[in-house]
Amino acid sequence: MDIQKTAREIGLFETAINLAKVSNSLDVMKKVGDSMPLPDTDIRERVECISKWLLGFGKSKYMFLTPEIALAEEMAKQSEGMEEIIIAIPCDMETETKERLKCNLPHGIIVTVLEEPFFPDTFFPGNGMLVICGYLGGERAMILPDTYRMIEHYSGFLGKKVFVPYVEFSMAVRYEGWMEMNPQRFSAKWRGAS
Amino acid sequence: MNDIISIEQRKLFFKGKTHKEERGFLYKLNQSASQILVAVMFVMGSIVARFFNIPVKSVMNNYSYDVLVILIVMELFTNLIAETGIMQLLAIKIAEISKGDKRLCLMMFGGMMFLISSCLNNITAVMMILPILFVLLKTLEVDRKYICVFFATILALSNTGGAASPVGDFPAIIIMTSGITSFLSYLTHAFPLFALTSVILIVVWGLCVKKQNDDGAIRELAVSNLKSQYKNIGIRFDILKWLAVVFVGMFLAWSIIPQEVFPPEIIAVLGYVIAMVICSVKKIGVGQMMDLKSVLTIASFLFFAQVISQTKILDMIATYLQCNIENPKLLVMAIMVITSLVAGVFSAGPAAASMMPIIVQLCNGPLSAQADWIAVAYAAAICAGSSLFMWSATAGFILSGKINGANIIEEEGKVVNWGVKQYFKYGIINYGIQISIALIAMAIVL
Repeated sequence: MDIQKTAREIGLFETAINLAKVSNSLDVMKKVGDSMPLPDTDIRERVECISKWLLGFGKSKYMFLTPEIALAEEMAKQSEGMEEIIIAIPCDMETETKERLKCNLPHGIIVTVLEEPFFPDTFFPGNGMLVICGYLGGERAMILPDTYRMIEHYSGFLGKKVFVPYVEFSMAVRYEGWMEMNPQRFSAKWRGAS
Repeated sequence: MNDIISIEQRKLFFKGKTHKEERGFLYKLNQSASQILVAVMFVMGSIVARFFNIPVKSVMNNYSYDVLVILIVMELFTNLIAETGIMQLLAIKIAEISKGDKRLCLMMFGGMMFLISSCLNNITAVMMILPILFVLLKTLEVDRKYICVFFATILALSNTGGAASPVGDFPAIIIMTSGITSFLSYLTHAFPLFALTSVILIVVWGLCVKKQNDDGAIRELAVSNLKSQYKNIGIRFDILKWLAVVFVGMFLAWSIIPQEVFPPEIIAVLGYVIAMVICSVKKIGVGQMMDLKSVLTIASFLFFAQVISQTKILDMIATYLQCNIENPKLLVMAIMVITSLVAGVFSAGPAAASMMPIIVQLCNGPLSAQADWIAVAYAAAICAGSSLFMWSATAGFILSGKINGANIIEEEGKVVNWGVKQYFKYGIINYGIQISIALIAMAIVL
């Protein structure tokens, strides 16, 4: 099972919610555990807290570099639906997957899809922020290669760039296919403990 | 760390370059196999026609354009149905019920294939079911053997389903319009036989799938991910109900209106046009994309079969059999075996057309009282033959093209291909099971 491919389509948080239900299984640990850190069982609460935290910035546009449908759904629940979520999708995503993702956007909030390498319209530091998702190993922010590339591509954006981990480890652990992001690339990160 | 990142990034940017450049002649040949096959069939057909002094113009005058038109229109119609999102709903329901169990998936999709094929056109049924299958199979961990077993079952059941009702498949429509049996008689005689055959096929192939020795967590995860992939996709029931009405209308027209009054391809075109208008009014995207390679392949086989049909070789064989086999029951069985082999080699449509006069002759002769059963025996023989080779079934190449284009990746990371070679041994078994059941049934009832 290519769990990273699934995460590319439904987002890390949605994948983590699904994983949390079966994370006690030895099969899952063996087959998925190498390529994706298994989430904690309180992942749903984490999604709620992160959504609240993101909305707290008071922006009208949130640009996700991974298609976080779970976060978008939760933000739709918590907000009055006035915000806009822009989901940036990698340029090398399969057409079929891209089409499916475009049809699977959450309801109750404005969600638009932006295909790399295009830039969003009227997205300024004053009204928008970039949301980068991954996991935290010690103090290291780990992200998927697509996300890494898109951070580089959208590096011209001078507004807030926040990092939200779906799972946090106290030690630095690197999983297959993940890349470390330079901490200077983001302006804030969400910490579950704080 | 930065060095590692730059290396990985470079890998990422250059992953578009595959090993294709290093592959040689055999790889290129394999990639172009279907195009070569199309060319060979047309060239061979022309050579045979010249050898037997058959004008190619006369071959083309009797050419089954109707099959091609129905094929194209049905694929386009399927696109419209797919746009409503019903496929996803069915996929999720089946995935949920089967809990991702491979054996149960095979059995449930097989059963569904039979039921859909018995109501709808054979090709349409396969086209309708494929998007569901691909989504499910990609999320489950499948190997090459499972793919082969799975699609061999689907292909065979699309044939049995197609033969189970008078509107299920093209040969069945030909039988119906020949006048040897009525709509209701065919349905009451054929459906139980083909339902039994389908159950046996499902059980046999189901038993070939190894029982999974796991805790079910991976399968549960696969189903959860599948549900997430479609959780916000809405089903357009408002359009689906109208498309269903058009579909029912088309099938009623196929079964009620004589072919001479309204040819089936015209009914198909009319149905599609109405469906297209409905979709446009309801503001749903009308997809006009289709795989022309599959159409060309079938076109080449129809051409070759038409040439063979005009050589009168088959007629000579049939006359010889009638003269030499006195027992009518044995004669029917012998014709069944020949018909099945002809259907296997030249595909179902041409076999149905070329062997039909012999069957009509038989029904008007010593076995006139058993005409309904002879019609079913004929359909069963064509059905068995259709499952013999990849090219035998009208849906075979379409199915193969779609599977190969779907990029299903097995556990080891290799892309699964499913073609003539991969289907061969499964086709022999499918044929063996189907023809045996049909022969036994005819030995009992005639």
